[in-house]
Amino acid sequence: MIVEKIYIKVADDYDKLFKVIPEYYLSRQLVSEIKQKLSKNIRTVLVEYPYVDKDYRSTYYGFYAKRHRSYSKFCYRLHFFDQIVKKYFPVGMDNSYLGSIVLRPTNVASMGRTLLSPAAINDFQGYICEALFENNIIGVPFKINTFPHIMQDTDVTVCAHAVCWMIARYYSEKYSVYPERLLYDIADAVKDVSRGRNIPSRGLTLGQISEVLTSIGFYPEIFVRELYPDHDFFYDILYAYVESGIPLVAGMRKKEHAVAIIGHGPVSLAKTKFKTVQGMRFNNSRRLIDSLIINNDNELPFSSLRNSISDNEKYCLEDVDAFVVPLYEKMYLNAENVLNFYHGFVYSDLLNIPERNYVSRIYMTSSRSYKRELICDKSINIDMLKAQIELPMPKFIWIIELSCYENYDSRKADYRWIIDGTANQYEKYPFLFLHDSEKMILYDRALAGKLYSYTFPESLGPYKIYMSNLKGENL
Amino acid sequence: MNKEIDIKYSFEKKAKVMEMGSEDTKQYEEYFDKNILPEIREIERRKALAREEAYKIRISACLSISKKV
Repeated sequence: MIVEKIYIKVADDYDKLFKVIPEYYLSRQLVSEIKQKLSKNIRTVLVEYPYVDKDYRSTYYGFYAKRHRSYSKFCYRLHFFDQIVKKYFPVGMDNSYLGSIVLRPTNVASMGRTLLSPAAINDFQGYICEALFENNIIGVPFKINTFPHIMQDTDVTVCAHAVCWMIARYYSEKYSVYPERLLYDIADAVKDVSRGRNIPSRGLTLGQISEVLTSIGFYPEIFVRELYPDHDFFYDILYAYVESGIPLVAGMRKKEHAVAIIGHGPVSLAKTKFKTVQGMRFNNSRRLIDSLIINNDNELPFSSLRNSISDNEKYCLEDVDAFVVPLYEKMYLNAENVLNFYHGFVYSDLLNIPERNYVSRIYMTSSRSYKRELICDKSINIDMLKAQIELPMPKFIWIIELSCYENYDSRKADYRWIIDGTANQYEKYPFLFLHDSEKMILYDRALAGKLYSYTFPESLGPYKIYMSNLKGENL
Repeated sequence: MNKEIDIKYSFEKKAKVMEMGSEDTKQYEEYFDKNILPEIREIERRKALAREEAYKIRISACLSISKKV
């Protein structure tokens, strides 16, 4: 039930939470973080108690109930609105709902399952992976588009478990193929205990993180920076997965920490950026982004991970020296291969690409989403559109988009090539579709096994870039 | 009743079928063998090494306890 309704005019109004919630659920430090980081547009906080949180309950039954000290079974849940909630039943306030934070009675790190809309965060700007969640407040359903967040409890779970939980919950909410896993299940998923007991946890190796993700139904790939002579290339690989809308577990060895990378910050103008930084012929679109968006379990969600360290932030991109990316079974060809071979289409006579500087954007998407977007695109040549719609494609495809600077700045592509996500890494012809301004090359890999070349009646112009992998606001 | 349906794409009538290994694709294939293939071998070596390294990289329980969150 709703035990308290707190109206927020100034940040100090959050201190009223202490009148209702005991300190072992809500520390002064957490309230201070809420005051700093939550949007100034929040007008009402509803306090719900007793709330049965399935994730906390899983750790309660698996661990806390076994302790000599007694812990409550119940949690508090805070609901945030950007309008004044006057009525007892908050019916008809869906547009004003900004999400929830569960508070666990764990004393240390009490912030449990958090579903906050990016709009609930002060000055948030960026593009993130979003799934649709539903909360019920005294029987009234409220929807939130967000990426889930949770804090480690330091008993059953550590940062790496928290990150695996965030990724698992995002996928289970978005795609029915992935099962929901509760917090305790994730902590207990490592089956090889030769390196010591699972609970209380003493941290995870990257290999164990991969095991946890495998137990949930993913097919993870692991990347370690020290294996790359060119560290920039390592970050290009990482970015290709971010641009694909695939959240990943980033490991920071020196900082002894793991975070979820779930999106990226605002995109700079290519024309301006490459005026100061010397552009190459193909400039990865990562160079136009100054920060990635992370969920760090030590803080509220949606922090920035900047390319270099800034005053207020503890981590920067250079701290990430390894990552695990949870892939779907049929995503065989990895980003590193695609980044390596696409130059071959340009530096041979297969295509005729004018000698100038381009922004290259490389990402994976489902062929279903791609075709759904394509069919609505009125800026694309009709022959090219029909050919791509008709051509049989696997469930996941890699896409390479090349745009000259001015077209990229107006979100347009000059060329877009499609690669089979199930191709073998040694294949000479892993592509499905290539084109330049005069012709397209189609490879029907599934049926006829033929390579077709089709000359357009007229030279092609630029068309809209594909932007469905990540959701962005305020840009 | 395993008759395969002969699919005709809309582009097929005006398209030319390219033969792999012919003059049309020869330069691309040479470029691939010379420049891309050696790098693929290096990538495959890295993929295997990353799996070995993964069990040596421990992400410990880092919490800002001093913050007593």
